[in-house]
Amino acid sequence: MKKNQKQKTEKQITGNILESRKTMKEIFKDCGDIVFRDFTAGAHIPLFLVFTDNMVNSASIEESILNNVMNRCREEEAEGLLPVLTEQVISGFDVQKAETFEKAAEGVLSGDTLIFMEGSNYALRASTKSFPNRGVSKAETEVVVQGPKDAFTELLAFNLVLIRRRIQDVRLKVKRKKVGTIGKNDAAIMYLSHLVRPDMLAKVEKQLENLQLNGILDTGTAEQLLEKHRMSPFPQLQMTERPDKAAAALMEGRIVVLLDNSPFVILLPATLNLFFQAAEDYYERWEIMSFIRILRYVAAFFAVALPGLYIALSVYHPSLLPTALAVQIAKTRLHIPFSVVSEVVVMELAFELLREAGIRLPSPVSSTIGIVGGIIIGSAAVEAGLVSPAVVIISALTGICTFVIPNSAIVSGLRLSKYGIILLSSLFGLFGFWVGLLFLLVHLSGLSSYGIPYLYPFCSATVNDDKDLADSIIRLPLRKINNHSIFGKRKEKKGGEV
Amino acid sequence: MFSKNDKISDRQLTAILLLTFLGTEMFFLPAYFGKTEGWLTLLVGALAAAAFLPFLTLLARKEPSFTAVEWFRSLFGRKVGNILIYGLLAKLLFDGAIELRVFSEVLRRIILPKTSLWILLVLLLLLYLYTAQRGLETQGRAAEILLPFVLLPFLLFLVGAAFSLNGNQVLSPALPAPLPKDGHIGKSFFATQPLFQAMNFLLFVPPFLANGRGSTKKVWYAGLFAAVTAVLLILLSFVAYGGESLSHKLFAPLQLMERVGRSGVFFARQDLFLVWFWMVSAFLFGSCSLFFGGVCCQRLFGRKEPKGGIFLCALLIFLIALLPETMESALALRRKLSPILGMFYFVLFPLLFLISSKKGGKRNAA
Repeated sequence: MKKNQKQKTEKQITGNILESRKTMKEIFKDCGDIVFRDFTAGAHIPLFLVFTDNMVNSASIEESILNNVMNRCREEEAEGLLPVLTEQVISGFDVQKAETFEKAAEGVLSGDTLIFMEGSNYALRASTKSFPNRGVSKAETEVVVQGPKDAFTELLAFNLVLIRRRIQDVRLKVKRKKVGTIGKNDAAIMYLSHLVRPDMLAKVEKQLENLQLNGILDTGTAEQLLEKHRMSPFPQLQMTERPDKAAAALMEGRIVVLLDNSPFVILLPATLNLFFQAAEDYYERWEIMSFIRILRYVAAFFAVALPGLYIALSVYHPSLLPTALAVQIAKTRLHIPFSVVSEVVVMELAFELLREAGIRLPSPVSSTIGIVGGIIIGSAAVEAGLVSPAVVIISALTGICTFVIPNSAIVSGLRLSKYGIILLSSLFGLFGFWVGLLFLLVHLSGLSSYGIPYLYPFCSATVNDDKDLADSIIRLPLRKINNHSIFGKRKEKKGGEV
Repeated sequence: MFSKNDKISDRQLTAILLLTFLGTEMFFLPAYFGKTEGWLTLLVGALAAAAFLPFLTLLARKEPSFTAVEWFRSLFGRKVGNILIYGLLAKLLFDGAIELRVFSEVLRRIILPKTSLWILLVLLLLLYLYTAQRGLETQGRAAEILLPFVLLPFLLFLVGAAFSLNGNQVLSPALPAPLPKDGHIGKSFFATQPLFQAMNFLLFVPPFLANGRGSTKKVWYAGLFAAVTAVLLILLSFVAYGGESLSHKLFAPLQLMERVGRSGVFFARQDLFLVWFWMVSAFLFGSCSLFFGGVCCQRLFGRKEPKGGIFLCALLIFLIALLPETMESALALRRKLSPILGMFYFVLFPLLFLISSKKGGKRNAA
């Protein structure tokens, strides 16, 4: 901001209404969406309103402010009028004081209505926010068969309410912040005060305050800035659009970070295990959900390892395969002009293209493209002798495995790791495959999220007496699941933890 | 709550030891002990060797912040102590280098016959380096996760191989076994030293233990497990191949476990997959050797972090690994040097440390 502009906004409001109006006009110069409305109270007390068009509840301004002030203040004098307006006249809004033009401008831009009056050295800031929004809709990325279907919206106020409804406890705290040096977006940190770890909360607050970015338009941006291991393709914070998931996270002692204008919230800390859990895991019976959890982990392994393993076995170690299978694969590859490695890489990339195209296209068209793409890439390529059927099956199976995992952020990490393993397998066969897996394991073992090992509770579970294993690769009956998870406040054990 | 990536739990230490005890020496023990009473000889010798494991953990209880560097300096003074520490560092690097070399040769002979040795050495070393510089806690976590994926299949294969051999009379060729002679037991005590070369780590691990008190029993169990597993392998190898041909079989355990011929087993051969067990063992042994070598250099030269030492040790391990002409000469070198150095560093010095610490007084490791 230029020096002059800065000086204007930091100025104190004086009682001179003409000067105040002039200053506000200069601050909002060339802002066609800022509305200035002059009116009087009584016969001779000039006031004016400033608000952002379509960001406020116009009908309420008309009724609760303008009409009330004009009708009920006929006999009032200027002195002492604003407190009267605050306490007796202006109804239906939360009203605060703004003593500087900076605070006044901030209020206007956040959807409040500012009321300036002659003779008063502060303005009134009435909370008249009414943002355009699409209402509470269904969750699109985290679909469940059984369970609530509502999802967060872009409106922070709505999102806070969606969580508040589920945790009706006075210990549920909400700390409001502004993030972004230019954008100054509203953010909120939610936590349960008796469960949250104070050191973690303090760290999150400090991190949010220190974010040096012009604007943080989505929680995805905030997520990348809050993470410790920024070079890793694996997410260390969890994002969700489901209020029930956010509420469950709060009840584990985790922290929820919400950002205005973003329908996703951040849950932290996050371990790998949490990315394999879906909301409905706790709404259905434990036997079937345990089976599905195991399936997800197996699918994740196949998503990373299957193409590389196929290359290692078919190119370097065909003797490992049963003879009939090895012969069949060899037969189907008889006239294929490309090497196995090229086939696998091209098919994997084709699948990635299809996946991206499916996301970007409008929904009526995307399903058609999916079918057409499947036909062209699948059957036609096989019939033309460009790829073997086995590779098509491997690629399709790998892709299906990625869709089984409930969280798309972790899938991105697995998709990228897959190519590393393909490269090593194509160079060194089974040995390269193992080296790739070990590199991946070491990388994941070295990650942590706010001090919690990323692979918890598969490692370091002794810290919580192995109790968290009851809700990991399997989900035991609800009565056996630990109510005091590792994320919550606890007493330090002697000798440090691991 | 969680420490800053530099402490491991008892369970993680046990996992590291269990996996590293399953080293490449397991490939060659059957050939060395391929006699009727060979398994009994090994059992006695291995148990005797493993008996010294708890002494090393007792040192951790006496002075939890001390590594071998501080112990040697406190006992022998700075000058003599430093010389002995250099010797220990050399042993650590030598063991790591020979294990790397032997495993690379095994890979070349079984999986990748056309790949140059140095490429395999470099790739493995890069993996070790990446792991070591991430700290001991990362290695502990990785070991804890890998343990069920190695130990359980390994034991299952062993049991499967046993039943594939002779049905109900699996042990009949080996029993009754004559009692081993005294001289043989002494020889087996030394011959099993390479099996327990992970004891190197116990001399440096105390400051990295979250709670060293519970580790003595677990370390002893790990040693016991290694001894019993080695004995089982030899026993089964002897039953499968007989004494005469066993002494000429290079990778008897691998070939033995290839014999799991139950219906429903998908793969035509399992031996290549079995190399996975030794892959994990070699990986953990190599990365821990690098890490503790780095720690030794850090404390020896007074550095802030072990990272510089880790890189130096990686270079030295690579160079040492290239020295032996063949795998057989590497094995022979290990069989010659390991027992002597092991006697000093795992038996003699720990006893001296424990005796001197009983005499009391806070140690001064200046």
